[in-house]
Amino acid sequence: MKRTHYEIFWEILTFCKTPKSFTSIINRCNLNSKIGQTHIDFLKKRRFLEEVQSEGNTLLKSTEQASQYIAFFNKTYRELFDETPEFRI
Amino acid sequence: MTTNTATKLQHELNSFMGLSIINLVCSALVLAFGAYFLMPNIVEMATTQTVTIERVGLAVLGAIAFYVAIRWMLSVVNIFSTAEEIKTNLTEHKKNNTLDDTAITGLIVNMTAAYRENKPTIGLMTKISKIAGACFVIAALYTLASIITGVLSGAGFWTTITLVANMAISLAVAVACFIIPRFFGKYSAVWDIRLNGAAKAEAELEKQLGATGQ
Repeated sequence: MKRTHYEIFWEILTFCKTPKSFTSIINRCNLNSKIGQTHIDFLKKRRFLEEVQSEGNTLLKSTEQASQYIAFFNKTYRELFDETPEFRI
Repeated sequence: MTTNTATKLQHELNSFMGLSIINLVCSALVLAFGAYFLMPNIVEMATTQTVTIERVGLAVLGAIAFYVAIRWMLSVVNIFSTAEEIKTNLTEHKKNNTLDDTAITGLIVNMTAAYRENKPTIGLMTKISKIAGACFVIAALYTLASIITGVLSGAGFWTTITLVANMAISLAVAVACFIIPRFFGKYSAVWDIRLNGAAKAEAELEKQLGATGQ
Protein backbone atom coordinates (compact mmCIF):
# COMPACT_ATOMS: atom_id res chain seq x y z
CA MET A 1 0.00 0.00 0.00
CA LYS A 2 1.11 3.53 -0.80
CA ARG A 3 1.83 5.31 2.49
CA THR A 4 3.36 8.72 3.09
CA HIS A 5 6.46 9.17 5.27
CA TYR A 6 4.26 10.58 8.03
CA GLU A 7 2.04 7.49 7.99
CA ILE A 8 5.09 5.22 8.13
CA PHE A 9 6.55 7.26 11.01
CA TRP A 10 3.24 6.93 12.87
CA GLU A 11 3.17 3.14 12.31
CA ILE A 12 6.74 2.74 13.56
CA LEU A 13 6.17 4.93 16.60
CA THR A 14 2.90 3.28 17.67
CA PHE A 15 4.41 -0.18 17.19
CA CYS A 16 7.44 0.81 19.30
CA LYS A 17 5.39 1.93 22.32
CA THR A 18 6.89 -1.23 23.79
CA PRO A 19 10.54 -1.98 22.84
CA LYS A 20 10.89 -3.75 19.49
CA SER A 21 13.73 -5.16 17.40
CA PHE A 22 14.66 -3.70 14.01
CA THR A 23 13.51 -6.89 12.24
CA SER A 24 10.11 -6.90 13.92
CA ILE A 25 9.62 -3.22 13.00
CA ILE A 26 10.35 -3.70 9.31
CA ASN A 27 8.20 -6.83 9.20
CA ARG A 28 5.25 -5.23 10.95
CA CYS A 29 5.46 -1.96 9.01
CA ASN A 30 6.05 -3.80 5.72
CA LEU A 31 9.30 -2.00 4.87
CA ASN A 32 12.49 -3.22 3.25
CA SER A 33 15.60 -2.97 5.41
CA LYS A 34 17.04 0.05 3.55
CA ILE A 35 13.87 2.15 3.78
CA GLY A 36 13.24 0.91 7.32
CA GLN A 37 16.76 1.96 8.36
CA THR A 38 16.31 5.43 6.82
CA HIS A 39 13.04 6.00 8.68
CA ILE A 40 14.37 4.67 11.97
CA ASP A 41 17.55 6.78 11.69
CA PHE A 42 15.39 9.86 11.06
CA LEU A 43 13.24 9.15 14.12
CA LYS A 44 16.30 8.45 16.29
CA LYS A 45 17.92 11.70 15.15
CA ARG A 46 14.75 13.62 16.08
CA ARG A 47 14.70 11.76 19.44
CA PHE A 48 11.37 10.10 18.75
CA LEU A 49 12.97 6.68 19.08
CA GLU A 50 15.58 5.57 21.58
CA GLU A 51 17.64 2.44 21.93
CA VAL A 52 17.08 0.24 24.96
CA GLN A 53 19.00 -2.85 25.98
CA SER A 54 17.12 -6.03 26.76
CA GLU A 55 18.80 -9.37 27.43
CA GLY A 56 21.83 -8.35 25.38
CA ASN A 57 19.70 -7.17 22.42
CA THR A 58 19.34 -3.59 21.24
CA LEU A 59 15.67 -2.69 20.91
CA LEU A 60 13.94 0.50 19.85
CA LYS A 61 11.31 2.29 21.90
CA SER A 62 9.31 5.44 21.14
CA THR A 63 10.02 8.34 23.48
CA GLU A 64 7.74 10.73 25.35
CA GLN A 65 8.27 13.26 22.52
CA ALA A 66 6.80 10.73 20.07
CA SER A 67 3.51 10.60 21.93
CA GLN A 68 2.81 14.23 20.92
CA TYR A 69 3.27 13.29 17.26
CA ILE A 70 1.15 10.15 17.67
CA ALA A 71 -1.64 12.09 19.41
CA PHE A 72 -1.63 14.83 16.76
CA PHE A 73 -1.61 12.27 13.95
CA ASN A 74 -4.50 10.30 15.52
CA LYS A 75 -6.53 13.47 15.97
CA THR A 76 -5.89 14.69 12.40
CA TYR A 77 -6.73 11.38 10.68
CA ARG A 78 -9.77 10.76 12.87
CA GLU A 79 -11.11 14.23 12.11
CA LEU A 80 -10.48 13.77 8.39
CA PHE A 81 -12.44 10.53 8.44
CA ASP A 82 -15.22 11.62 10.81
CA GLU A 83 -15.89 15.00 9.21
CA THR A 84 -16.28 13.81 5.61
CA PRO A 85 -19.54 12.31 4.34
CA GLU A 86 -19.91 8.54 4.52
CA PHE A 87 -19.52 6.56 1.31
CA ARG A 88 -22.52 4.34 0.75
CA ILE A 89 -23.85 2.55 -2.32
CA MET B 1 -16.73 8.51 19.18
CA THR B 2 -14.72 5.32 18.61
CA THR B 3 -17.91 3.32 18.11
CA ASN B 4 -19.24 5.86 15.58
CA THR B 5 -15.99 5.83 13.64
CA ALA B 6 -15.86 2.03 13.73
CA THR B 7 -19.45 1.83 12.47
CA LYS B 8 -18.65 4.29 9.68
CA LEU B 9 -15.54 2.28 8.76
CA GLN B 10 -17.61 -0.91 8.68
CA HIS B 11 -20.32 0.70 6.50
CA GLU B 12 -17.79 2.11 4.06
CA LEU B 13 -15.95 -1.21 3.79
CA ASN B 14 -19.24 -3.05 3.24
CA SER B 15 -20.29 -0.58 0.54
CA PHE B 16 -16.93 -0.80 -1.17
CA MET B 17 -17.00 -4.58 -1.11
CA GLY B 18 -20.56 -4.53 -2.46
CA LEU B 19 -19.38 -2.28 -5.27
CA SER B 20 -16.50 -4.68 -5.96
CA ILE B 21 -18.93 -7.61 -6.16
CA ILE B 22 -21.17 -5.70 -8.61
CA ASN B 23 -18.05 -5.07 -10.69
CA LEU B 24 -17.07 -8.73 -10.52
CA VAL B 25 -20.52 -9.85 -11.71
CA CYS B 26 -20.51 -7.30 -14.55
CA SER B 27 -17.00 -8.27 -15.62
CA ALA B 28 -18.05 -11.95 -15.65
CA LEU B 29 -21.03 -11.05 -17.86
CA VAL B 30 -18.76 -9.07 -20.19
CA LEU B 31 -16.46 -12.11 -20.35
CA ALA B 32 -19.42 -14.30 -21.30
CA PHE B 33 -20.53 -11.67 -23.83
CA GLY B 34 -17.04 -11.65 -25.34
CA ALA B 35 -16.95 -15.43 -25.63
CA TYR B 36 -20.52 -15.47 -27.03
CA PHE B 37 -19.52 -13.20 -29.94
CA LEU B 38 -15.92 -14.33 -30.40
CA MET B 39 -16.08 -18.14 -30.47
CA PRO B 40 -19.11 -18.92 -32.69
CA ASN B 41 -17.99 -16.39 -35.31
CA ILE B 42 -14.44 -17.77 -35.44
CA VAL B 43 -15.76 -21.35 -35.62
CA GLU B 44 -18.25 -20.37 -38.33
CA MET B 45 -15.56 -18.65 -40.41
CA ALA B 46 -13.15 -21.59 -39.96
CA THR B 47 -15.70 -24.28 -40.86
CA THR B 48 -17.34 -22.49 -43.78
CA GLN B 49 -14.05 -20.99 -45.02
CA THR B 50 -16.02 -17.78 -45.61
CA VAL B 51 -15.06 -14.42 -44.18
CA THR B 52 -17.77 -11.77 -44.01
CA ILE B 53 -17.44 -8.23 -42.65
CA GLU B 54 -20.29 -8.87 -40.21
CA ARG B 55 -18.61 -11.99 -38.73
CA VAL B 56 -15.20 -10.29 -38.51
CA GLY B 57 -16.79 -7.26 -36.83
CA LEU B 58 -18.60 -9.38 -34.27
CA ALA B 59 -15.49 -11.48 -33.60
CA VAL B 60 -13.41 -8.31 -33.07
CA LEU B 61 -16.08 -6.89 -30.77
CA GLY B 62 -16.11 -10.17 -28.84
CA ALA B 63 -12.30 -10.22 -28.59
CA ILE B 64 -12.25 -6.63 -27.27
CA ALA B 65 -14.95 -7.45 -24.72
CA PHE B 66 -13.04 -10.60 -23.67
CA TYR B 67 -9.79 -8.67 -23.15
CA VAL B 68 -11.53 -5.80 -21.34
CA ALA B 69 -13.33 -8.28 -19.05
CA ILE B 70 -10.06 -10.01 -18.10
CA ARG B 71 -8.39 -6.66 -17.27
CA TRP B 72 -11.50 -5.59 -15.35
CA MET B 73 -11.63 -8.82 -13.32
CA LEU B 74 -7.96 -8.60 -12.39
CA SER B 75 -8.41 -4.99 -11.23
CA VAL B 76 -11.46 -5.91 -9.15
CA VAL B 77 -9.70 -8.86 -7.52
CA ASN B 78 -6.77 -6.59 -6.64
CA ILE B 79 -8.84 -3.91 -4.91
CA PHE B 80 -11.19 -6.47 -3.38
CA SER B 81 -8.33 -8.30 -1.66
CA THR B 82 -7.06 -5.06 -0.08
CA ALA B 83 -10.55 -4.19 1.22
CA GLU B 84 -10.99 -7.76 2.48
CA GLU B 85 -7.70 -7.52 4.39
CA ILE B 86 -8.78 -4.28 6.10
CA LYS B 87 -12.20 -5.74 6.89
CA THR B 88 -10.59 -8.83 8.45
CA ASN B 89 -8.41 -6.55 10.62
CA LEU B 90 -11.47 -4.61 11.77
CA THR B 91 -13.39 -7.82 12.55
CA GLU B 92 -10.45 -9.23 14.53
CA HIS B 93 -10.06 -6.03 16.55
CA LYS B 94 -13.78 -6.13 17.35
CA LYS B 95 -13.61 -9.81 18.30
CA ASN B 96 -10.56 -9.33 20.54
CA ASN B 97 -11.92 -6.09 22.02
CA THR B 98 -8.80 -4.20 20.91
CA LEU B 99 -10.52 -1.53 18.84
CA ASP B 100 -8.94 1.48 20.56
CA ASP B 101 -7.96 4.88 19.12
CA THR B 102 -4.68 3.59 17.71
CA ALA B 103 -6.33 0.57 16.06
CA ILE B 104 -8.98 2.80 14.44
CA THR B 105 -6.38 5.28 13.20
CA GLY B 106 -4.38 2.32 11.84
CA LEU B 107 -7.41 1.15 9.86
CA ILE B 108 -8.00 4.69 8.54
CA VAL B 109 -4.33 4.89 7.51
CA ASN B 110 -4.66 1.53 5.72
CA MET B 111 -7.80 2.67 3.90
CA THR B 112 -6.15 5.96 2.93
CA ALA B 113 -3.06 4.14 1.65
CA ALA B 114 -5.24 1.63 -0.21
CA TYR B 115 -7.17 4.42 -1.94
CA ARG B 116 -3.95 6.24 -2.82
CA GLU B 117 -2.69 3.03 -4.45
CA ASN B 118 -5.98 2.04 -6.10
CA LYS B 119 -6.87 5.48 -7.45
CA PRO B 120 -5.45 4.82 -10.97
CA THR B 121 -7.11 1.36 -11.01
CA ILE B 122 -10.46 2.87 -10.04
CA GLY B 123 -10.06 5.39 -12.87
CA LEU B 124 -9.35 2.53 -15.28
CA MET B 125 -12.31 0.51 -14.00
CA THR B 126 -14.59 3.50 -14.47
CA LYS B 127 -13.50 3.76 -18.12
CA ILE B 128 -13.74 -0.01 -18.68
CA SER B 129 -17.21 -0.05 -17.17
CA LYS B 130 -18.37 2.65 -19.60
CA ILE B 131 -16.84 0.71 -22.55
CA ALA B 132 -18.57 -2.46 -21.34
CA GLY B 133 -21.85 -0.54 -21.08
CA ALA B 134 -21.45 0.60 -24.70
CA CYS B 135 -20.69 -3.02 -25.76
CA PHE B 136 -23.90 -4.23 -24.09
CA VAL B 137 -25.93 -1.49 -25.77
CA ILE B 138 -24.47 -2.62 -29.12
CA ALA B 139 -25.33 -6.23 -28.23
CA ALA B 140 -28.89 -5.22 -27.31
CA LEU B 141 -29.29 -3.32 -30.59
CA TYR B 142 -27.89 -6.29 -32.53
CA THR B 143 -30.40 -8.57 -30.78
CA LEU B 144 -33.20 -6.09 -31.49
CA ALA B 145 -32.27 -6.18 -35.19
CA SER B 146 -32.39 -10.00 -35.03
CA ILE B 147 -35.83 -9.87 -33.37
CA ILE B 148 -37.20 -7.55 -36.07
CA THR B 149 -35.70 -9.68 -38.85
CA GLY B 150 -37.09 -12.82 -37.18
CA VAL B 151 -40.58 -11.39 -36.76
CA LEU B 152 -40.67 -10.20 -40.40
CA SER B 153 -39.53 -13.60 -41.65
CA GLY B 154 -42.02 -15.46 -39.41
CA ALA B 155 -39.69 -16.82 -36.70
CA GLY B 156 -41.21 -19.02 -33.97
CA PHE B 157 -42.65 -17.66 -30.71
CA TRP B 158 -40.00 -19.23 -28.45
CA THR B 159 -37.14 -18.03 -30.64
CA THR B 160 -38.49 -14.49 -30.40
CA ILE B 161 -39.03 -14.77 -26.62
CA THR B 162 -35.45 -16.03 -26.15
CA LEU B 163 -34.11 -13.11 -28.16
CA VAL B 164 -36.24 -10.62 -26.19
CA ALA B 165 -34.91 -12.10 -22.92
CA ASN B 166 -31.38 -11.86 -24.32
CA MET B 167 -31.94 -8.20 -25.20
CA ALA B 168 -33.42 -7.44 -21.77
CA ILE B 169 -30.38 -8.99 -20.03
CA SER B 170 -28.00 -7.01 -22.25
CA LEU B 171 -29.84 -3.78 -21.47
CA ALA B 172 -29.91 -4.51 -17.72
CA VAL B 173 -26.15 -5.14 -17.69
CA ALA B 174 -25.58 -2.00 -19.79
CA VAL B 175 -27.49 0.04 -17.19
CA ALA B 176 -25.42 -1.57 -14.40
CA CYS B 177 -22.21 -0.78 -16.31
CA PHE B 178 -23.24 2.88 -16.64
CA ILE B 179 -24.25 3.09 -12.94
CA ILE B 180 -20.93 1.65 -11.63
CA PRO B 181 -18.92 4.78 -12.60
CA ARG B 182 -21.39 6.90 -10.60
CA PHE B 183 -20.69 4.83 -7.46
CA PHE B 184 -16.96 4.97 -8.08
CA GLY B 185 -17.35 8.71 -8.55
CA LYS B 186 -19.04 8.99 -5.12
CA TYR B 187 -16.32 6.83 -3.54
CA SER B 188 -13.53 8.88 -5.16
CA ALA B 189 -15.17 12.19 -4.18
CA VAL B 190 -15.22 11.17 -0.50
CA TRP B 191 -11.66 9.82 -0.51
CA ASP B 192 -10.24 12.71 -2.53
CA ILE B 193 -11.45 15.08 0.21
CA ARG B 194 -9.66 12.91 2.80
CA LEU B 195 -6.49 12.66 0.70
CA ASN B 196 -6.42 16.43 0.22
CA GLY B 197 -6.94 16.90 3.94
CA ALA B 198 -4.08 14.49 4.69
CA ALA B 199 -1.84 16.35 2.22
CA LYS B 200 -2.71 19.68 3.87
CA ALA B 201 -1.98 18.22 7.32
CA GLU B 202 1.52 17.21 6.20
CA ALA B 203 2.93 20.68 6.89
CA GLU B 204 1.64 20.49 10.46
CA LEU B 205 2.93 16.94 10.88
CA GLU B 206 6.33 18.09 9.61
CA LYS B 207 6.26 20.87 12.19
CA GLN B 208 5.45 18.32 14.88
CA LEU B 209 8.37 16.17 13.80
CA GLY B 210 10.74 19.10 13.71
CA ALA B 211 9.54 21.20 16.62
CA THR B 212 9.23 18.53 19.28
CA GLY B 213 12.38 16.76 18.18
CA GLN B 214 14.75 19.61 18.93
